Amino acid sequence: MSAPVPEDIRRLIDRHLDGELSPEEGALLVQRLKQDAEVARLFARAAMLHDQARAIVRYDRQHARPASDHGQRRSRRRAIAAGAVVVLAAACAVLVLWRPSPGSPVVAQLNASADASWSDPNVAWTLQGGELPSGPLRLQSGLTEFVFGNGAVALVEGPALFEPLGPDRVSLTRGWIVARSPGRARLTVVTPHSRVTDLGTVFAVAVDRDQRTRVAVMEGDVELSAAGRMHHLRAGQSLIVTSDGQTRADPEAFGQLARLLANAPSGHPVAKSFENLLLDPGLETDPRTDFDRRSANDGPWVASRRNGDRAAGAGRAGSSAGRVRALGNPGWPWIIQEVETGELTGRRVTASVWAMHPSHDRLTLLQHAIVKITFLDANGREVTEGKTERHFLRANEPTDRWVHAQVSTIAPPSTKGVRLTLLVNARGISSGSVLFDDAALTVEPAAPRFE
Amino acid sequence: MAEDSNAGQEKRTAERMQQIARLWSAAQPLVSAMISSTVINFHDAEDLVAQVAETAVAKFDQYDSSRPFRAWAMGIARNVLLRYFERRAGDIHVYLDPEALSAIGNAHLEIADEAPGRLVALRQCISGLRGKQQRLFEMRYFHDLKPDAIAEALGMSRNAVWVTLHRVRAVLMECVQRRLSTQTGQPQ
Repeated sequence: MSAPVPEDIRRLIDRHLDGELSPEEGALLVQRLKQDAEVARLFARAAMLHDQARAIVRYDRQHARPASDHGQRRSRRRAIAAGAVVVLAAACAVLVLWRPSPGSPVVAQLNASADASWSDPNVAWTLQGGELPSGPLRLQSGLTEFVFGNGAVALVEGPALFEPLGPDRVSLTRGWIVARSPGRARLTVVTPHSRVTDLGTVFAVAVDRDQRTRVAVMEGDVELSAAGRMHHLRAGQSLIVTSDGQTRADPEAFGQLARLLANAPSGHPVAKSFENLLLDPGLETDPRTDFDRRSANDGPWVASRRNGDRAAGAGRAGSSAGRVRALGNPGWPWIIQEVETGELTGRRVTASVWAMHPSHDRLTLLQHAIVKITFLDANGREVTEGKTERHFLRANEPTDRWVHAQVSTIAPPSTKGVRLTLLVNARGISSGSVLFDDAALTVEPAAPRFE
Repeated sequence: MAEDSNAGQEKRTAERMQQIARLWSAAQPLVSAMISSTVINFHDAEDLVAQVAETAVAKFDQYDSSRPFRAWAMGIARNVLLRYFERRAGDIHVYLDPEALSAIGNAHLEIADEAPGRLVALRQCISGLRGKQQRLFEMRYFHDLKPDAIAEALGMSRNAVWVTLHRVRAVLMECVQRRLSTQTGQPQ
């Protein structure tokens, strides 16, 4: 029987799994891993526990039921255990992504981002999973766009320190926020010395280094409360409020507002809508039903072999839709369209698509849809820079309901074409399909100016 | 004649893809465990698993079917990891060298068949956690918070968080071993 592994080595393994080992400790662990097979086996078992713990706790939280549901709990637990085994057997259990259950209130969700860098790397991962991390969020650089629970959209530019407080409220301690509130949605931005309440509008709020609040209104009206006084601002008006409540006009704020709108990662709706570069955006007119490329004269869409086809009558308006099916193959199934655009360098490219998973072949476990932009050079080869993607339509979202996803990025140098890819992260599972419809690929002209 | 030839080719390709899919689905948990035990960033780990899958498909013609597929896939994973560590050498502390990765890979291969039993046992053991241990466990594994962030959130010292987490894992590891021993009548 082999000797038990000393406690100090067990601690080193734990610290490694938390990413906390110093180089010296790492060297010691490596030495023991090489010398002692028992240490290596303990390492592998500890890593397995680490992975499985994450998979179990996330799976359980994702499928949590009310406490009154005791009658079915035992059999459900058995089913969940079996399900979790399948998760692991199908692999990547550690990568379970969690989203709020449909019944829980949504404060805000990430809609799109461009070159976003967070001070805590876990934030990006959590946000991409559909969850909102608790506490203040520190965006170091780049742009992110959130959709609040009431439908208001807020664009945040780093460096910024902010915290979504509720489905209609966000606090801003530093940086810029541009907000748009469709319909009756209202968003309140709380800054260190004021409160800005939107009255149906597009407006920008900033808190600068000196803790001054800057407000600029592009459309509609806002109400600004600072130092016990109320200010009503209309479209075209701006104000800067110092920490002691002094106010003055702030026309420079409009320059910032215009720049932010021009760079909004999802393509801001106040910008003009541009021509869709895609052919057959509804995946309807192509005579091939399998989107398999047999000749250069075939239609614009191409699917990965056997995974894609046209689903007649399944489109958003009752017409056809493109279907991407998981069939258990290791690669992720896709449908693509490549567009020759000519020189695009430095211009913002936006892709969007509607998608849903049908109840008769719903996504399961970790499966989800992805919309992705890749740039091509003059020879049709992929350019490594600039590509971006958005993960959406997770397995626990409602079936038979269309959702919209949008992604945006800046074309890098040498760009002469764009590839739009509609993917299913199939996870090697042999069931689950996503219907895609009404895709769009647009290129913005030069940024709008508001001087 | 040409059509027959094409049909035959398509059939062979389809059979080959089915074979890869079957083999990969069995090997993937192992590859994933190997990668996530050595790459702390989950996002990077996911990308690397995908890279291993792509490489395995691209190089499948080189696979010797008389040998175990999962060992072959683990070899690819090892190479993918080495390239990753080379690329990231300036950003992260890289202490796992080729020999250490081989030792870890071999250990994962040795214990691969334990995974399903351990999962079921671990689920039962987790349900026994209470109070602060349960809270810290959830913060670490559900919210993916590092000990520093947990300490800040709970107003505890970093060391206190770390010690508690270490104890939680030790308790779970012992509990799993005990349950497996009870089931099989021998320690694993």
